[in-house]
Amino acid sequence: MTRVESNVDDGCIVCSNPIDHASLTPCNHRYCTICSLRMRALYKTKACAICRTEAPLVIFTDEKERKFVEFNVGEFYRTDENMGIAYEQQAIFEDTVVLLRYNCPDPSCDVACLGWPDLHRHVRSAHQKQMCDLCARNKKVFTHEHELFTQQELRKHEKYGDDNPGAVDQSGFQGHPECGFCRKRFYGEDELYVHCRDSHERCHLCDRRTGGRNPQYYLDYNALEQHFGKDHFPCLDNECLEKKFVVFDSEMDLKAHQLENHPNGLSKDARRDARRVDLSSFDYRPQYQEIRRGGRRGGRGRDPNSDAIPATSGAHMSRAELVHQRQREIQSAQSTTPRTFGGQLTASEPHVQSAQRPANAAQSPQIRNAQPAFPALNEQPNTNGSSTPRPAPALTPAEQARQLRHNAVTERAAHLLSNDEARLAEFRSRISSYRNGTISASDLIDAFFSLFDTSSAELGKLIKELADIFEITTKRDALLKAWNDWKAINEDYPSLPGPSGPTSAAGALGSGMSGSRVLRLKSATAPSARSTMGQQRSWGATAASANNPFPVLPASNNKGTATPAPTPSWLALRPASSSRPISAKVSPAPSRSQSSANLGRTDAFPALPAAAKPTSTVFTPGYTGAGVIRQSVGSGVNAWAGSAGGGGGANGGASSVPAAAGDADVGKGKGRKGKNVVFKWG
Amino acid sequence: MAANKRIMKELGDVNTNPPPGCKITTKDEDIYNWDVSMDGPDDSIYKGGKFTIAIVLPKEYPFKPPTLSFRTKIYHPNVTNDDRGAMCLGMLRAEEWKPPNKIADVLKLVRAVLSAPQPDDAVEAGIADQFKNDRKGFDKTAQDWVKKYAK
Repeated sequence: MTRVESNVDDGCIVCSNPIDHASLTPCNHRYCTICSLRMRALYKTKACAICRTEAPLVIFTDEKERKFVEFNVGEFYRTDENMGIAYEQQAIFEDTVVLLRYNCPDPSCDVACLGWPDLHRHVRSAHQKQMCDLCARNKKVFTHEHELFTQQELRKHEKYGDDNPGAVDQSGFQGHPECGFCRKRFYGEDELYVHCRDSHERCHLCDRRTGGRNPQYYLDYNALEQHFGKDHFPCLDNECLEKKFVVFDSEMDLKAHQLENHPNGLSKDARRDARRVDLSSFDYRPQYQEIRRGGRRGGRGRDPNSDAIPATSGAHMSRAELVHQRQREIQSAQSTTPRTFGGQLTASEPHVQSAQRPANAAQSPQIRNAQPAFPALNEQPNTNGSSTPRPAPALTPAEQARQLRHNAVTERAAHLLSNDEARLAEFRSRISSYRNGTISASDLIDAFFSLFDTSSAELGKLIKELADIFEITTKRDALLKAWNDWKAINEDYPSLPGPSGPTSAAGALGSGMSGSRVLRLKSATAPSARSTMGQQRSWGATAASANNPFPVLPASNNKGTATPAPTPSWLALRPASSSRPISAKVSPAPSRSQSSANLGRTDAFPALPAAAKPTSTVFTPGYTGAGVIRQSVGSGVNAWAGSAGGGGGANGGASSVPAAAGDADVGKGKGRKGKNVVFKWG
Repeated sequence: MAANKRIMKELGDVNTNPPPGCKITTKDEDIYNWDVSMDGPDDSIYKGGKFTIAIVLPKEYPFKPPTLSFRTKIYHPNVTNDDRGAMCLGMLRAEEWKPPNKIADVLKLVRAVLSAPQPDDAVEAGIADQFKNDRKGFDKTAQDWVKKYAK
């Protein structure tokens, strides 16, 4: 009943597609790398597909005969400890990791996005389509295998599914089931079941009768109580009612319970009532609730205003008391400052103001912070933070408090940016753009993600602090709302694992990966046969090798990118650090030097004009582009276009221009050739 | 999608070379819903019966196992005695399913289990007890049911 040996020539035993590269397990089973990756990356299982033996390491290879033990560690092009994959050749590695990017599902689009929010935005703006959020969170397919829907299609997809019996592309999908109480949809029956189990109630008596099959749910305890009253025999003794559901299947059981537990507890009247229940029209609940509300509870004399008193207590304070209290709060906040913010003091003025003066941006935060009171501290290194921050005497306590909050924000930002003043300046200018209404709150958050190379939790702290110092309520609320939206969209998504360790995927892929490779691999997982795009491969490989494995960084790296390498960020849902080599390359004349370097090694393409596309060289000084990968040259739909400075759109240009030119030359006739990808994990 | 091609291939295989005693159709051309008409194996007490089995392939097939249910009532320790007629075989459990397993393999296993019930792996404990302790009574009921339901 179990086929053990795979027949490589016959296509992959799992997916029946022709095998491009084979995945070889220690048990010497071969099947295609796509199935192997699917199991390892999406289903999170390292078991061999064929014999279910745990395979801590598999080899992705083109060798058809060799056994697992015949490979030497030294032969591998690269080993990914995280997923347990050894790549025998570079081309296989590239073919593999491209599947793990946030590729746009549109079959003709080679854009890879930063993450789910970015992808959602991309399909909305570039294709006027949507993705199903439930599928994105739960469906175990590669990103580009998801589907794009119009608004109506999406509704149909959610409600009825998009199964199309008889068609080639039928999916068997019947829609996402909806919870009838909450009007909320869930990915599948299992998810709905979990929701109902956790959020709604089931009648244990009915379950016992039906054996738990075909479960009936009730919205909450009240609905369940009504059901008990209607269909079963609850004990009406007050104690039992308090216990929440002493209820019986039959009147006999109830009577037995009453005689046993409340021989004297029941009043005569109640006992008589219990005997007189008319079973055919047993509708007791509404009456009962009246009793409870009007009689017992009300009789206890609960003060309806008792809740209100604490809430209004502040109103009893006199104005003077309020002022006093506030001052004390401020003072205590001040006294803790050196401890809390042990580092250097940063801008003591509201930094939205400072951000409006980009000329100052080059100054280090250490210098700026000391401005009002201690000009002499300029010479001092970071240790000046140990001195007590005594604000200028002219400031009122309220201003002092505000200043402290500003300091805290700037402090945190500076810390997160590793005191890189250029990026700090960028940070400030973003905030001032937001404050001026030039960019929206969600744009601001996007900008932060490209700017900060940190976890969303850290960024969340920063954004909350930042929101605190906005004195305009609407701005503050908008920012918090945008942040919550981002979290809602982002944090539940499955993450795509990337290669582990410091292997610079960006180095291998970011600049070398031509769009054609993406499309080719997409087609590899598509139902139809391989497309002819495979022939573009030599170009992709050549370009990749030119940049591999670690691109040489130009000496003009003056941006202080000496940031300590963050913890491996492959699994985090955020702009990760892997583009650092690229960002380091963004120097004042980036595209020219980069493109010529690349082309010089790309024999297949003679003499491409060295001049880059003009719009792709937009460069924001100080922007190191740690996060953004997509540029949309001349495209009005670029979500980043609204950001101040256009930094988002520009940074990718450096390394991707050659690829763009290459595509154009190859004559693929893509109208969107300017759109390119710098590979990005996250 | 990957599953699609695989399923089409399996469908083609079972149509050209069907497992013994099985006839396979898809419900309304829906390749995720298979209807199998299976003859009771000759070496079993179910001989002469004709059983309809519905197989539902999950969207994640072949990475998740298919589900299998007897539409024809059958008296068997490994088939639930209710309107679902679910059959739980070892290889169909999520943790034991192997993606290369084919539906044809599953059907062969079904036939093997019809011939030789596995009372230790039963879903109907009562029937399993009877099978173990009162084989004659079990055989009689099973054959009665075949006459009653599986003709």
